[in-house]
Amino acid sequence: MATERETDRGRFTITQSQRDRIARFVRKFRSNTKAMLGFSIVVLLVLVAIFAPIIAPYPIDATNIEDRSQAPSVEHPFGTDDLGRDIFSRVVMGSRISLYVGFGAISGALAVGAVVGVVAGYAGGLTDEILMRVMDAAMAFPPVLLALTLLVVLGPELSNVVIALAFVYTPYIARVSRSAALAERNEAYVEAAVARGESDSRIVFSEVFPNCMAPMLVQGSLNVSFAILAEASLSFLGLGAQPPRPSWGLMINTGRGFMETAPWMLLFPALAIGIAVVGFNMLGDGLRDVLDPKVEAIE
Amino acid sequence: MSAPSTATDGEADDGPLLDVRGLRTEFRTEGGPIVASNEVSFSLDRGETMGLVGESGAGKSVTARSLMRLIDSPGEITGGQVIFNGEDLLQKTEAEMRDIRGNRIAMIPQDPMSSLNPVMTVGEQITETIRRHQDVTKSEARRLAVESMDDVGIPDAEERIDDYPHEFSGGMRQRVLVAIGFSCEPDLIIADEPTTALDVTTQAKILDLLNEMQEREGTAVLMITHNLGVVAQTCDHVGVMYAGNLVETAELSDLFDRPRHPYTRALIDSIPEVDTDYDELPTLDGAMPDLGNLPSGCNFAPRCPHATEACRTGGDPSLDAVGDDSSRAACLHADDLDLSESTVPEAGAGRRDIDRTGEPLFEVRNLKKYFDAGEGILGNVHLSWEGGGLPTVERRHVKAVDDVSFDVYPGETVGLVGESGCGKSTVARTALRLLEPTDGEVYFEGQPLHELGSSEIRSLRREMQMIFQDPQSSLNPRKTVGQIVGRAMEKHGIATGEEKRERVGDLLERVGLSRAAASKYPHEFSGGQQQRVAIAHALAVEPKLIVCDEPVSALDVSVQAQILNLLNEIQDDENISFLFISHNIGVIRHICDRVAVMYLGKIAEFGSIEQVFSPPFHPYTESLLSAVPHANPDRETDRILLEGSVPSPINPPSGCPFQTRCPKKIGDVCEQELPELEAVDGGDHYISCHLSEEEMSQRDSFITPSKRAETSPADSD
Repeated sequence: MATERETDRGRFTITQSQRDRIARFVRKFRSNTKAMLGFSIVVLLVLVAIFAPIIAPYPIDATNIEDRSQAPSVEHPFGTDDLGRDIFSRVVMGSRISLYVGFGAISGALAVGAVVGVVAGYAGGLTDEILMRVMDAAMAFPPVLLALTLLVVLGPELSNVVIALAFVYTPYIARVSRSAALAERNEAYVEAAVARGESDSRIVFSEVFPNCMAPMLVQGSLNVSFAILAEASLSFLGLGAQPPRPSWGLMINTGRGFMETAPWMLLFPALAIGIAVVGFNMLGDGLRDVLDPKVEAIE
Repeated sequence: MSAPSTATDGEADDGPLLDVRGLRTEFRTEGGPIVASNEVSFSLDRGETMGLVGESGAGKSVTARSLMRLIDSPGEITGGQVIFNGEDLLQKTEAEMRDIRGNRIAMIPQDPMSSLNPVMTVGEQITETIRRHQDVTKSEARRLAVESMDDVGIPDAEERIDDYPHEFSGGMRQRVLVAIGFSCEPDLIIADEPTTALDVTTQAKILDLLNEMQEREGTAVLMITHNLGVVAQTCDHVGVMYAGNLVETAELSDLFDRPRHPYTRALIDSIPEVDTDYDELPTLDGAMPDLGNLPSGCNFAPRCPHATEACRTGGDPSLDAVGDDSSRAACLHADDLDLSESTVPEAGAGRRDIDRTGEPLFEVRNLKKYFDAGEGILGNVHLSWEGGGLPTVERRHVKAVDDVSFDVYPGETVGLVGESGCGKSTVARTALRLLEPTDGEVYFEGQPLHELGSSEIRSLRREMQMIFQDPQSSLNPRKTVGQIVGRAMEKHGIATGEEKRERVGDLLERVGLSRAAASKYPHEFSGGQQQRVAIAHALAVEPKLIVCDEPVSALDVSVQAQILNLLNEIQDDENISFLFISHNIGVIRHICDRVAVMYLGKIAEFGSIEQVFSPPFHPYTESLLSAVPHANPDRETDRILLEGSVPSPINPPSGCPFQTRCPKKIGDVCEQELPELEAVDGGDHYISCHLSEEEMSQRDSFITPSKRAETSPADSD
């Protein structure tokens, strides 16, 4: 069997059909306003995160007692906080934390959840029952509460936030991929593969899995926004990023005390969270429209 | 009975009931507008039945929906007139149309399963229609509803009116839909494929009912169907549609005797008839053109055997009267072509002889497959309190396959035929161990499949392949055709790399596709081409047995004929055995050497085609064969209509499974003893029935020796 491992992918260069398929996806994606808007926001965020040190005019921890709690001005477009740090610089650098947690947690959740879900959906019966009841149990806790509990155990650190949130969002991904796999399982090509003599693992990962990717991607990008929000909540509660790191949630927490005297301390990080969440949500929604197999089939 | 002449203009006193003139319906798509119904004109008199036939995508349903103005965006009626009772429906307001729909024009939809609302009783659904259009009280409406249920032959209408749709069988649900359609005594009924979702024996009953209702109420019927047999049984005149155009209209007998359009001829010829021998079905090349990309000349020219240069360039011909009869055809050569002779080669040599002296290739003995009834782990446990005392726990099973035995010899095609739910697909899947059998033995070349472990089975899969009903679902949409076909070769170590690609190309050519098809995805092909890919996939591992599970029932008749010919050809070349599952008696008749007729998980009759289609008959075989509508209005068989519906396999009847519906039941012995599957006329023809051979031989063979033998005169009224 080992000698037959060679797959077609490496040997066929991209064919016309594959090009057509990609072109069709791009065309549909571009004609979907929601998807394009979400995509633009996400791309902008990623660019900001990558070039943050260049964009940020001040170091994030440069305190300046004389300039503290200043309203937005030309030197400090978002104003300064109670220690005189430039809020614009901190919001820009904070995007790194948010995206790191968002992408990191969801990648982890996808890696585990997708496999669990597809295996459960394909195998059915007892395997399905056991795997999904475990997932249900994890899902029974409110996401932030569960993450909070995990962080108490793991210790408040950013990398632990990623691990905790990955754990929290795994069942959501698993549910979606299970239902996708359940639908695919009844397609005749699965039976055709069995009749051809394929092993179960080959059928799960090579035949069924690729057909379940679209709903997973949609769910994944929606969940990135939830994870960003959750990180902000955790940091707000003091269990996420620790000062002086410029986490948006942490900044809101600090700003809370100065709501009346320096509302910009709260406003700009909150705005950043809002934009990031809306961006990923729109991207997910748009992807759902674009990837809907029914729409694809009609064309 | 003779149809009134079809006046194209509303000349006479009050004109025809329905006069459609130049109806045009377009759909807006990304690639520009698609004309789904192109300048369609026809008329229909009161009390008359007109058939609208064509393959899928021909535009017949769109035309019918346009008549009722039921076209939703992105579709739009862009031209023409629909004169109904002297008024143009296209000029009416939406509110006026609502008063006409269901009242003056009613529709009988195709799918009885999804066309009734599951949360409303059937009574509510019938009275809803009545009270919408008639000013009657609730109790009066209920009385009318009971009456209409009585009219359509629903037994105990008074009691059943408060039942929900799921409590009715498919045939009964279709009767409810017929009752709703007729409830306001409309002038016109549009029946959109009213029997397509039904089994043949049920179909025969529904068609009888429609004929009878129409006769009684004097309603005009527009019958939309792809089945020429249904047309022959019900219609007075017929319109044939192709690629959005009406290409021929004719009176029923003219259409079959003297078709004027080559497409009509081809359509009639490509149906395998129950009583005719063919070597090869006449086919049309290709498939219906894509409506978004029509040829420049006549739409049919690329497939037409009579096409000339003028046909290919001259634009679409209009529908004109032909000669001096009442037919009209959209063909440039309609006047000079004589299409009255069918192109079917006269009964050929028939099927090859099969050598059945050696070992069978595949042998199934006493196979059983029981499914747990109900869902979940305890779903099949059933408590009963019969006879007092402690309740007894009983495990309930669906006996999908119950003691089935048959064999398949090398190079032979064995058919499994029966109505939906009889277990024919389960037999195939269990025999191949795609499902674990409950009991029984299966031998492949002498190896006991039922004893092999899963890895041994996997390597034996090379010898046994399967072709599925729905080609779209049987090909993985994320893989190219080359990957799909090539994978099978890789898996069983037949070929890899360059050699594999070479072989995939050869195979694709073998099944009538181009080599370039290897790099395309399944969705880029039409249904017929996808089925060719599925056949290539099955052939890739050079199997000895291919199980074909309804391989042509999702395809149009002209494409169906191509696939059947391809299968026959492959069998001739490679000496492959087929186990062929179908509900279509004509197809079975055409492709099989021997056939097993199944009823309720058991084999009722087994023998060669000649034996099964000739007396002695099992009573079920007899009614099944008699129910098949002939695509020939001159020939009407004496049909046996079965009472009731198929019993539940959870709780099958005692004794003979067919005894509850058998028209020839002799008495207690049928209810108490299960008849053995015994050899009759001393040979290898087996029937499971208590009747004597004479009693089973009261009917002539369904295989008529000469092609156009006159049987008893048609009596469709």
